[in-house]
This record gives sequence, C-alpha cells and structure tokens, in this order.
Amino acid sequence: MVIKIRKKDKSKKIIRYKGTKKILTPRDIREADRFDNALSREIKEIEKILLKNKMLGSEAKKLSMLNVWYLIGTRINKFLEKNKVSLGEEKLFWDHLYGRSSIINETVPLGKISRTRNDFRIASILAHQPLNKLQKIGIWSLWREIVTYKAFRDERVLKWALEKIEQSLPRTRDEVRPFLKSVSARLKRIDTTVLNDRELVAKLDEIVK
Amino acid sequence: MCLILGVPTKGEGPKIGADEIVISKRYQIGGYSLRAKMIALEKKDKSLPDGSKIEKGTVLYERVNQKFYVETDPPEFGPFEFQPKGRDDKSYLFEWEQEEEGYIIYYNEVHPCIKPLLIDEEKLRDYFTEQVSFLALQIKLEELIASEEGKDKKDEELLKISKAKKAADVYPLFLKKHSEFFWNLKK
Repeated sequence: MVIKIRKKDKSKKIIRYKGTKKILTPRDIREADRFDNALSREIKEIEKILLKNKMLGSEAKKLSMLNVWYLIGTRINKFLEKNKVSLGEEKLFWDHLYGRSSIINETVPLGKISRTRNDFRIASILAHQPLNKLQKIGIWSLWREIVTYKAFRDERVLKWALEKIEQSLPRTRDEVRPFLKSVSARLKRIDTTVLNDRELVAKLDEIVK
Repeated sequence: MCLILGVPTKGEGPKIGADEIVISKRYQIGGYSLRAKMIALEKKDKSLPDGSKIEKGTVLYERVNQKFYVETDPPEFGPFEFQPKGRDDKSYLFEWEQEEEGYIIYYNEVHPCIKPLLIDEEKLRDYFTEQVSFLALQIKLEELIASEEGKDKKDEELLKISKAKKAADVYPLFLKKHSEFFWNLKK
C-alpha cells in the first residue's frame, strides 16, 4: 500500500504519496486517499472525545498525558484492525501521524523521530495493557522511557522491573532512568529467551544487590 | 526451489547450521527475512573481544540476515518514482519534480500511450523503463547546465549540448513532439 503524506516546503504545503513501490498507479493513489480520509475521520473523532471528556486544559495542554495517549493508542489500534498497514509502510505511517492534529501535537517535531521514540507507536503498544496497571506505575514520560528499552520486550524482565519501580516511591522519569539503564546494560548482550525464570531473575537481582 | 545460504570460509570448529532452505508451497507470496544468531547455552571461562564474559544467554554472533522473496519482486530502488497526475493535454506525457531522495516523475494517465497499460503493471513498468532513459538524460542535462561548466567531464557529448544556447529546451521539445505524435497515433 501507499501512504499519503503532507510536507511543508517553506510556506508551501505539498502532498506526496510514498511506499515501497516506485511506480504508483491511479488505483494506488485512490487507495492511499481512502486510507488517509479514514485516518482523518478517526483523528477528528479522537479530538472530539478529548474535548468532550475535558481531557485537555487551557491552550490544549494535556491534563493527564497517560490518559490522553492511552485513548489515542486504543483508537489507533482499532483503526489498524480495519485498515491494515503493510510492514514496508509501517514506519511512514507512524512518522506521518505527527502534524495531523494541533490538538494532539501542538507542534510538529522538526527533526526525524526514531521508531522507538514515536509517541503514537508507544501509545499503540501501551494500549494493549490495562490502563489501571499503567497508572499504578507512573506517568506517561516514565512509560515512554520504559518502552524504548529493548530489554523490556521480555515480559518477565518488564514484570520484574515494574515490581521494583512500584516498591520505590516517588517515581519520576529522571529518578527511575538510572535503574532502567542498569537493567538495559546488564542484559545488553544477553538473549533472555534461553534463560529460565530462575536464571533470569538471578541476573536481574545482581542489579539491585 | 531452494535458497542457498552463505557458508563462512573461515572459522574454527565444526560447521553449524543448514546450507540451504527448501522453499516449499507452504511459503505464501511475500518477502521473508531469515535471521539467525549464535547464543551461548552455558557459562565459559572465555571473554568476547570487547571484554564481556561469556555467560548463559550471551549472544556470540548475530550478523545473519538473509532476505528472500517468494513469487514477488524485491522492493524497488532508484532515484525515480512514478506517480499519476493526469490531465487532458496532448503535449504532456511526463513532467518531473526534484525532491530530497531523487525525482518524482508524474505521468499523464489519460494519455492514450499510458491509459491502456494501467490494467497491467508489468507492461506499465516496461514502458516506463523505456522512457526513463530519455528522462534521465534530460535531468542530467539540466543538472549539468545548473552546475559549474565542465564539472562532469565524463560525458563530453552532454557537456557539448549544455554549452549550446537553450540546451535544456532540447528534450522537452522532443518529448512534446513525441507525445503529440503518439496521442494522434493511438487515439
């Protein structure tokens, strides 16, 4: 499939159609337009819910970032169930969600955002977890930090780390960051899939000793 | 059909892993990535070149990433992207725009040369392949004129044309005539 993207060249707004294909046909363009219109409708719907539920404060500041991004992630996941994005175009899809709504993103990031730090993608990953579980641990920026580390892709590592974070209050991102970094560093060269639970926990416990 | 895997020529110890993968009918159409890594399954009194100790789970080697495609072409690369932008204009077959990664070539999908090809992407591709050489030549010529004279001495003929007055008009005029001719011929 092909993704319709909007760019700004100086003051001029330009539209581009991008995908893995180098030759686009009128059918590709029609399909990209259909997908883009559906996405626009979905984003408008998200904006309506955010405003209706008073999830945004004055000057469109997000009162609870976690709740707002959780809603965005949930809606995007539902959208993607009906409107499939192929693997080759996934990066384009996440990149170009920025700049579509001034309510969701007040400003568009100037530089490129890596896949691991893309707010929409992180929201989509977190939306697979129950909201109360996320709220119990901490704020959006802390979760954003956790998701970016490769080590936590192993559910057992994530579970162990969350237990440790829960035991130590208060939990701001800056306070938790050294701990997250040390978990990541300890498992940097380790493939945890070959470790049983006991072996894995023994390695992790070395961090907090 | 089978996929032949690269076999390392250097190394100590016995050879590990399969030399080939049989692509059976179980594989659906699409692109595949074969990734492999070597993981230590026990602790060793040895260290890796970076000094880290080998323990259970240590990744020893992971630079194996072989892509293959079953009944489909690999993604295309190149500086040109073709996009439809049709209008009822006899003199317009192609136009182009430079962008960061290369050029977008807009084609007139209502042109009688292109319209019948839209139902068969293979034929459309073949047609564009033929045309792209002319387009590339014109783009090269424009670049040459815009750059310092004589910068590209590899192509003496192009350089000669670029020195001529209104040299960049040569190909658009040729394309216009070519387009009009085919419009009349095919309609």
